[in-house]
Amino acid sequence: MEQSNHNKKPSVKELIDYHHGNMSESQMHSIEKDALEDSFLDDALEGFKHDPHALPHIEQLRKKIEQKNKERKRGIWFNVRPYYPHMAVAATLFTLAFSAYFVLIRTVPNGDDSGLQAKKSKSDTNIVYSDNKLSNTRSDASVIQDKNTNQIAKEKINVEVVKPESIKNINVTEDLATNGNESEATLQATPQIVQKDDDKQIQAAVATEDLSKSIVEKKEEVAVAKTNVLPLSESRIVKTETLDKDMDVVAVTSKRKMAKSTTPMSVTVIKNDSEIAQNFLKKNPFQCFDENSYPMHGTIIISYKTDNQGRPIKMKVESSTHEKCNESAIEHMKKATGFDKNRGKETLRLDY
Amino acid sequence: MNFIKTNASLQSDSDLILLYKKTENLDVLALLFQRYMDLLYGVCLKYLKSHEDAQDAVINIYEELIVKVKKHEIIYFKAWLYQLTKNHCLMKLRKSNNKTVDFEDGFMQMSDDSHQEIVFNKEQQLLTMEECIKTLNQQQKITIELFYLQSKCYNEIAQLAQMELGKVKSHIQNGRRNLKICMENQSKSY
Repeated sequence: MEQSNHNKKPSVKELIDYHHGNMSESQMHSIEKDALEDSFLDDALEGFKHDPHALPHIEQLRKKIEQKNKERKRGIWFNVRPYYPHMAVAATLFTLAFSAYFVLIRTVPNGDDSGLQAKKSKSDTNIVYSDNKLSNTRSDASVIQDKNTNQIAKEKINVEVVKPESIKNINVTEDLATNGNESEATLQATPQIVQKDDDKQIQAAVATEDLSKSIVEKKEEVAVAKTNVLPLSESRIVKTETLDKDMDVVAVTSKRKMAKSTTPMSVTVIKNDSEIAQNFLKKNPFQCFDENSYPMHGTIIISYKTDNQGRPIKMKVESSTHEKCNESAIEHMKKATGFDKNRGKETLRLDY
Repeated sequence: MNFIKTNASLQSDSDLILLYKKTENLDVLALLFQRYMDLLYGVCLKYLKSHEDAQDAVINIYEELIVKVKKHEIIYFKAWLYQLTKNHCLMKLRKSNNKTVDFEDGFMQMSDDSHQEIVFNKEQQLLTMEECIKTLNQQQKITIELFYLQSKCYNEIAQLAQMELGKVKSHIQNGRRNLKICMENQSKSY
């Protein structure tokens, strides 16, 4: 089987003719002799017996091989050419989706959105109202953390002071829902404003929106409060002092960096208008225990009035983390004395 | 392509292989392949029986070649391609379990001994052949003599010797093999 004998081998036509008997005996003998010398030819000769129309089939094969070569030369882009319309549609959709994403990013504010927040241009401003009668105003901003939430790493509170004209003794309670994961999470708040003006309560959304438009006259950053990282299930108290004591309404802007927080957290910002109550609670901290005698942690906000001897009366729980602690909290506060006499309704806060 | 065709058609198989390895030009490989494509198609037909299967097999073998020619050191391209084709067809038959290979008369005798052709001196060859023909059995002796000495084709031998056509081929092939063995033994004894 020499490699140079490819020109001497019989043609396909001859091989087909051999089977059809269209050649002389000497030609047949010649082919048979070649086939005995060349097993490749012998097998082929035998094979053509099965295809009497081998010539057109071989021509088809030549065309297929040329086509293969052309495809391989043109490369992958030629092979995907039938899919160009699909690719164009996919590219268009991708571009649209990408553009929509950027438009949304620019229009939608970060974090959870309340109805109030959507209306506010500076959405991270929360308002704390204080009694304008108090001369020495001290506002307490507290962060109450759920037992299951993680710790808060840093907190920065900017306080905006605004002057009220007719609002008295308003406590703002905020619920914070954050979804921050090591990112800076703006305090999202839906203030619940409790206004003591003929014992009426004003709903937060409406009140805050109206008040923020009408009464804000002066804006001043007055305090930056830093909080320590507390263990789980402990509440923190952030104390801010107003520099301008005549200012009665305090707006709190709070930005915090959440280390790891995946569950909603509640924040309560109240104004304790009596230092006496605070002093009493410092000396006599309130504690509440569960059925297994383990101390529980939470906050109770109690409203009260004072009698002519400066004792708290008509105490009522406004809000509470654990209802079972309400009675014991009221009993605890009954021990307190030395309040201003004949005061109107006040609120105080018990952290336990 | 035309330039390659005109030049390459004059080149040997080994030259074309080298050229393909160097340039990876598929036109060169196609040219080399098409020298044996008709035989290759015939071999595939022999094993696979269907012209469609044979066509697919030829295309697959060509695709195999694109890679394998670059990898292997090929000395006798025709013999290598023949072996590759047989292996491909047998593998295909093995995969399709429902198909069986027909072993015709003489198939087993068609050993790929073409590489072992021994060149004898013509005179010595003729002398030893005469001696060895005598050692063959009657049927092999008749068919060999008719085929080689009287240049009869298979059909004629079948008619003259009153044998089936398949058996003529078988006797000739077996006689050839026995002659070769005999002549090799004779040359050793010299």
